[in-house]
Amino acid sequence: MNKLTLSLACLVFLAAFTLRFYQVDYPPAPFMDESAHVQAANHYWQTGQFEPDHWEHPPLRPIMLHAFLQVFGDNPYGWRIRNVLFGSLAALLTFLFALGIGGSRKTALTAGLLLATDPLHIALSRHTFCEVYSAALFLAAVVLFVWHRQRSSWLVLSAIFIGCAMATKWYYFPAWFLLYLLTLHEDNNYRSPGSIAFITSTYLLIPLSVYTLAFYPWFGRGHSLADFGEFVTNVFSSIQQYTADNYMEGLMFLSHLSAGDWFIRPIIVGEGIVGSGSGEFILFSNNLPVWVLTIPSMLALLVIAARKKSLQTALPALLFFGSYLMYLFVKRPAFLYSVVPLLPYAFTAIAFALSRVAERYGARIQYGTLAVILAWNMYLYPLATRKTVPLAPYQYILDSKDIQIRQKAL
Amino acid sequence: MYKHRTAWTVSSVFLFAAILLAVSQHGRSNRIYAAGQTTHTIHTPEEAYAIWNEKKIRGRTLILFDHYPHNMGYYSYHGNPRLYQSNLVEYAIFQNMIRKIYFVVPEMEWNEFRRKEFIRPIREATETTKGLYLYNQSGIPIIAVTPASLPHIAEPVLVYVNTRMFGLEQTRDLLARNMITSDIFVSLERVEHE
Repeated sequence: MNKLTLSLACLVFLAAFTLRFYQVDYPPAPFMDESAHVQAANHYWQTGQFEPDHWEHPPLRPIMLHAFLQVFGDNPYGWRIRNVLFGSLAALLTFLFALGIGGSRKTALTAGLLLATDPLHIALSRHTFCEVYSAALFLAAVVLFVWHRQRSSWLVLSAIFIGCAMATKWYYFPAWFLLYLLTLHEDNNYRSPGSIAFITSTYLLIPLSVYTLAFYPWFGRGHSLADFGEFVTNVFSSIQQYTADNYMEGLMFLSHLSAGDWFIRPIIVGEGIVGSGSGEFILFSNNLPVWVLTIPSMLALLVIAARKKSLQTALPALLFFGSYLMYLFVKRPAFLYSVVPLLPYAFTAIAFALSRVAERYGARIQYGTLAVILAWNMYLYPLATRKTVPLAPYQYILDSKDIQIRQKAL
Repeated sequence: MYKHRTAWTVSSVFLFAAILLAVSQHGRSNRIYAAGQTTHTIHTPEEAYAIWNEKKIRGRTLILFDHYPHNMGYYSYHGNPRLYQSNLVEYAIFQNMIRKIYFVVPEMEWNEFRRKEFIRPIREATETTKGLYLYNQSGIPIIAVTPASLPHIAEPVLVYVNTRMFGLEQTRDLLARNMITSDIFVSLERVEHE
């Protein structure tokens, strides 16, 4: 990697970090589930119990949060810095992913900046939503896979990150399986029994080892391996039965339950306080003017990949659709924040599509489009981060029926 | 071609095996049984907790012959949970005394029990003919079974019997039939403010 590429990577990370870290200590009180997450972090570490968080979630999340609380203290920084850091790393990893699958520096920069400035990703990165760091962990595994070039230790490291991601959320199961198959396929590894054994043991046993190890405090409650199997089966069965009724009444995300809406319909939920002519808000939206490009870009990428006969080029689409299909067909509600693991692949595909257009019509169109998108994202930034804004320029967004607004003199 | 792939393969297998052994050993070492077998008659549920606490039991399986236990979760308490007459089981879970519960439902009440709104079955317990895993906030396995469906349990268990609901002899026969041993057998003779 030359100096220019390294500088661009640093730029993407710094931009993402600045947007996520700036005034992250506001609000000073816990927001949504933050209080439960913090209590659960200490509780799990000390007793192996999951409450007051849900027991269906794998337990690396409370372990990680406990570590951050030890370093930064039980304050807004301690609660949120984990997401700030992993959210920023996700932008850097998106840059490296786009570069690794054959994108130019321009393409990689576009993909990285799209994630760095995405309002939903920023909003979630400033609180304790587990999707942000679990997606970053899995993306690290993908990037290591893409860049490993038959280096054993890189594949092992990739497997460790898969284990970390799986020990945080089960979202990544289809993509994990896909990576395993792709590694077998790469360089005809499937023809060599030694390589099959290495890849299988690495991509199966190491993630399982990490996953099991995350339950160490839970085993401390007297549990056996048989109990563990019973517990995992119960988790799976319980998750299948979740409906909207199982969630707290008034939860803002309940207004949109289908993943089918994510890339084709506007979704804006959130809350805010308004005074005379101004207000502060935290909105979770799907940024449709940009996201609507996702599906066409994915299809274009698949066509290009088919023409080039390149699995590498198709990788964003394979990882995207592999996970997205799960969201579409899973029985439980799919809330908007679950989209986070898909965003790096979505933005990489959009960046590739823009580069393709630029090849035909000139680079200006790519720079122009990127500038417009970044300007639009920055216009939405205050709404994702509780900054005080005048109401008039945002009124058409704030009119959404799914934003809970309270009146207050600022 | 991957370098040192045999070494990595063997290392992965050993790592996995070592972690399974470590967590298993960690679990076993945190399961504490009482010495000998004792029987206790109590008059309020809190007395059962005092007995368990005195024996320093930990990580145990409980066979519960009683009403469905209080099960509202950590958030139902203001501040740290405390022991009340109604929350013996949940409090013992919070203290890591209990890790698994077989909740015995009289045969005649089984069909009615299944229809009750307050239970939320997760799945059928396939190792029994009439058994259901019930959802609870702590996530420990609570398996509702009829007496005839109670399986053999290899480890010594805690037994708690509300004698208003189950006869003592009937309970002892059932345990003997299933070759279940108990280190602490508690029977509740009278419940105040029930």
